[in-house]
Amino acid sequence: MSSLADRLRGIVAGVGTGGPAGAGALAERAAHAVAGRVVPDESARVLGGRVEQHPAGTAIRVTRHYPADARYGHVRLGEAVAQVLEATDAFEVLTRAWPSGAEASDARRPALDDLWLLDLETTGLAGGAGTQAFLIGCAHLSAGGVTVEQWLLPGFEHERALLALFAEWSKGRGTLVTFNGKSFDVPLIDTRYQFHRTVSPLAGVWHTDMLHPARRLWRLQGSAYGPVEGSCSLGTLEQRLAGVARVGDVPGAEIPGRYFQFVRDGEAAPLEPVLEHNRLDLVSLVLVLSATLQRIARGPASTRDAYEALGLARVYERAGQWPEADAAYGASIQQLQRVGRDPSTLADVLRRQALLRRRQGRTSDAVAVWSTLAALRGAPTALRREAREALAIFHEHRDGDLWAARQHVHALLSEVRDEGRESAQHRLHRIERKLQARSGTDLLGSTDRAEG
Amino acid sequence: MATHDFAAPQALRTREKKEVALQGALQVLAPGEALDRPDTPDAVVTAVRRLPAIPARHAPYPDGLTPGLVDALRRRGATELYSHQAEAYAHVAAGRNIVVTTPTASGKTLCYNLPVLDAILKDASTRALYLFPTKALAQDQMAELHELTAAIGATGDDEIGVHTYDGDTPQDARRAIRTRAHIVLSNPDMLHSGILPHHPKWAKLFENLRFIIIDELHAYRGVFGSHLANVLRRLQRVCRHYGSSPQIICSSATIANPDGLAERLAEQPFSLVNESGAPRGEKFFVFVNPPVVNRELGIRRSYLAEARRVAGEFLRRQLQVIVFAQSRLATEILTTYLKDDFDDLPGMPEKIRGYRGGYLPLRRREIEKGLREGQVRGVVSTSALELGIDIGALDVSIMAGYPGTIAATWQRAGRAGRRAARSAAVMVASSAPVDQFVVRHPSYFFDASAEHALVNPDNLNILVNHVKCAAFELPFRGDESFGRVNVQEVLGVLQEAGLVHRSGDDSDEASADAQWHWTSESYPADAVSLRSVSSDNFVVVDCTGEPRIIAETDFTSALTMLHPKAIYMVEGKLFQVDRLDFEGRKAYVRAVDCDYYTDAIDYSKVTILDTFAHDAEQVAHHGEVHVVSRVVGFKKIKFYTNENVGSGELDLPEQQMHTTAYWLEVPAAVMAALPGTPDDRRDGVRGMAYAMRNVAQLLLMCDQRDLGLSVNAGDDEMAAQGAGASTLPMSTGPAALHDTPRVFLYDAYPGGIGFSAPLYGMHAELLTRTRALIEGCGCEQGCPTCVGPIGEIGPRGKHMALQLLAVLGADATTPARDEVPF
Repeated sequence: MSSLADRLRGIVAGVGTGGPAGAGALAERAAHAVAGRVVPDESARVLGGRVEQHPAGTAIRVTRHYPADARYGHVRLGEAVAQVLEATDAFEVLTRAWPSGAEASDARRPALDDLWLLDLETTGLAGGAGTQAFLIGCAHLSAGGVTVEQWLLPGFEHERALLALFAEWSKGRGTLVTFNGKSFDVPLIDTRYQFHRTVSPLAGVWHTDMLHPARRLWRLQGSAYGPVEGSCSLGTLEQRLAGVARVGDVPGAEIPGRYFQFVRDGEAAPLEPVLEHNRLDLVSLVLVLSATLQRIARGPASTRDAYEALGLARVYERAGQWPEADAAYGASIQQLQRVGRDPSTLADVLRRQALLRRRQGRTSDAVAVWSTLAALRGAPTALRREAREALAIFHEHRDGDLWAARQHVHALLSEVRDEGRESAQHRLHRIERKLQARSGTDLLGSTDRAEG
Repeated sequence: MATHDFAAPQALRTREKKEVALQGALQVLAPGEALDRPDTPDAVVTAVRRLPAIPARHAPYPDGLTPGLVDALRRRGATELYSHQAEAYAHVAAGRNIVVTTPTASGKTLCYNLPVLDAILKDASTRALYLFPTKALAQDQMAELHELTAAIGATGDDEIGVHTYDGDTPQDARRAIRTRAHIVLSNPDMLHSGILPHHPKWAKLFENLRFIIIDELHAYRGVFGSHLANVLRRLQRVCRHYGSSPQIICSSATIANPDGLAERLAEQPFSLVNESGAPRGEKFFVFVNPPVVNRELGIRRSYLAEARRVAGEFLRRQLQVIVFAQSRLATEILTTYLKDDFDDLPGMPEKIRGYRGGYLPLRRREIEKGLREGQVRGVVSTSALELGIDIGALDVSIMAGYPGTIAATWQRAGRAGRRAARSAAVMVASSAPVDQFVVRHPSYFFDASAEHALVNPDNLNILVNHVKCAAFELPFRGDESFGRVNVQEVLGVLQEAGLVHRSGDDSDEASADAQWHWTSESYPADAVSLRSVSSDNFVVVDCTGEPRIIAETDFTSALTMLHPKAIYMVEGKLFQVDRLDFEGRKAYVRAVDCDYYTDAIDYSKVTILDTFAHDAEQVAHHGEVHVVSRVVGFKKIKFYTNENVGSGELDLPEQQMHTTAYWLEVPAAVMAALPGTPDDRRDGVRGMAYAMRNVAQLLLMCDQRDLGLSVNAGDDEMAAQGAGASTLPMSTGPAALHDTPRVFLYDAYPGGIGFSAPLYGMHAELLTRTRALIEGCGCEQGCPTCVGPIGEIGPRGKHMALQLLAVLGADATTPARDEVPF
């Protein structure tokens, strides 16, 4: 009978049947595994940081300052930081569009110069009790530039210390900015505090997640073949916004493995690219934040194409800035009309503008937009149909121009094949009835109205 | 709950009418015979037993129970408790874990709801976690709890939160449930993959968890039970982390070892509450064996037709009937039959309904309501209605086919005849060997205790997976234990694979300072399905139209069910497998219309690795074996007639497994001393093996697929077995007499699931019962009910099997049933 360890190897190797091949490979791998352990002082030296002590353990703290005159791609950091720190009103708009979650609390909205950024590197993406943050990266902004603070976990047994040190540092800071932090970083770190049965310092913090505005602004890109739905990762964004192409960046998928290896053999050098990746992500996030706030502050004139203008309009609309939204839609429409290559996006923007105007009670302004949409060649049928319907309703019920209403219904019927046909027929009959009634009794009146 | 009958004159008349109707139907089924009479194994009605009525035993509400709770129960009609409910409360109040095993409808749920609600009313921070084997049961219990809490009437801050938490729970409701629900109703699968891995989010529940309720405990046997035991180990670890040590309350149907099972699953001591104080009406239990229509081939009248006839006798007399069928297909067929017979008025509410898994929840609720309110007069169901879904009191329970275990049979019989009224249960046997054994040996059923439920929580394949999940949830301490296996050694091997990392000290010794941390990106619970050993499932893709997934099959049965050209059945619809993508774990099927199904021919070779034990004569053995099996072909079998109408060959990969086995060796001297030709002797071994497997299944309370059979009849190393009971081990090569004939019965799961050890302990009984099965069979030369079809077992197979059994020491008379050894 095989020994317990051998049978276990067979099972763990995934054969499930004790097949010898897998188990053998596993035993071999075990023999080659390097025995070592993390020496925090040594790791801190390799990573250019220092050891921070806490009664529950230690953490490795790395601080890096990026001065204002440094460049990231073609952007000078000082400019980006200044744009952020000055954009109080734009930030207000952003927070109205995507509330931070802390509005209900009594706490006053903190000033912008207290703003800080957070990005974690974790042992996996799955979440749950077994997913840990092994690196907490934070950045704060000042006139002098961007300062990044990182805490590295020198071994799982030090997590309590890491969390305590981070809590100490983050206490009393201002608005938190992240990229996808609402669904990933913040819940994950909250879970770690819950795991240790302590209170998370992020509870009740004002938090703005830049992923959502960035998606609005930059997900759609124009191309020779029409709009493309692009990736919206930090890597893609920094390339678009600042022309940055990172060299030798560690792929995200490799990051957990590098950390596990560090824990096993104590070699810190392979972690250096991970720390660098985390720092660059934070700097990149400063760019995204500044570019977003700049668009909001300066309006559609600052956008680079019709798609950005469309995104900006939607940000404004979400924030309730209706006149600004209308103007941005207008700018987007103008550019799309000029290029004339993307009728489906144009139709979408027209529809959004018409709906916005209707919501504002600007009925006749809406009708103008609906008319443009109804006449747009290459518009998606569904949108054109919606425009015709809106126009028919307007003419039948609002201005009483039954002839115009009938014309739109006829156009509608010529396009509609299946569903919707019945209701259009119904509308047509009603309009015909009204026209008949009118010709019998009130011919003059109707002429008057048509002329008026 | 004790509801006291105020027998209004009208109700009395209804009851009298019903009793007359019931007597009438029973008279037709067993004409002219006394209703309590000796068994007649050769007749159509083999047994009629009368189970006398039992009056209620009440107990006052215990002192100290929250007055609001008592008032609510009184308002709902329970002026007092039943004695077992009071007993359960006393145990729980004294801090003990309990298992309650009282019959269906005896107010079992109040045994746990009473202490739980009382504790919540006294301390609003109290939390309880209820586990049900199915989502439907959790829904049912939620409805009952809502009624009860509404009757208590606590509102606002005092309101008692009762919520289900399963795969259907909307994401946005989950957060509130995690923090606010006092009672969370869930299932082991959700606990395993959705709650425990996210325990920090459930901190509030785990910090205040005072009760774990495990309903339908008997459902957790075999693989499922072995998984649950490990999930409970993980649950208790997490509770310790949050400083709670909840009490456990289980309810179970009648099995032989409810407290033993609970102790094995939860690894804590339990007190047993098994004296029901609920009243029971008089019940008649009838065994029906469809008449033989062809004695030579041992063919009986279809049991479905017989069940239809029996159900008709009761339905015709305005009695409310539930019919249990053994499969979804049989359910549909019987529903059709009975609808033809009784749903003659179109447009009227349907009197006959079918019920099974796969129906939409809304439809099921409607049927349940119809049963409770009486518009539905007859329901045909799979085992779906066997568990505690509330359908009220029916008059008659009919089982079309033996449910497979004594426990399940009593459970189904219990669906008829609640409270005081007289009721009947009828079991109609199919021609399957197990059915025939039971129907012809009624005492086996009526006099024996129910089966033992077996689990093996330390099956290494299962355990290792849960050690991974546990390490993900909380780091293991260097001196921690987890089950009976040395978990430190398991963790050592996981470290070799890079899945965990030990830190905190430099030694390899057991140490409280050392910790094992999870060092993998994966989420290990996703890789483990509680309902099988391997979660490496095959999906079945229907390519008739737009490709869509129609079913899933576990790895073990994939090759026998989904080989190319196999006929695969879903809800009575037939599909043929076009292609099996073994690497991608997919089978592509197309809908077909044909009149046959397929049965895989599976060759297996068993090699003995280690013998743990053997008897003095070296006949019975227990040990570890290596099983190599391969599906080499299939047979096409015609529906209804079961004729073999063709076959095909297949070239599929070999499967290997280490498992545990019981085996029987026929000493060379015994073989030599047998009369007849060597071929006859081998037929005898194979015939005996065929019967042994069926008896073993009966003795072990297991599914047929839990147990593998391999016969080395002394002629060849390879032996074949069919996936279904209809197929026989076949000889495959020329005779070679040097081998000792061996019959292997092995656990059909890698690592073994705990069946072979008790089987070894029951060796003598196994042989005796096998002999009784074969001797008692009315066929002349062998049939599928005893040694297998004559065409496959040879004309002398039955005779030789009996000779062999006699020499091997099988007693000729049925022995008293022994305890099943563990």
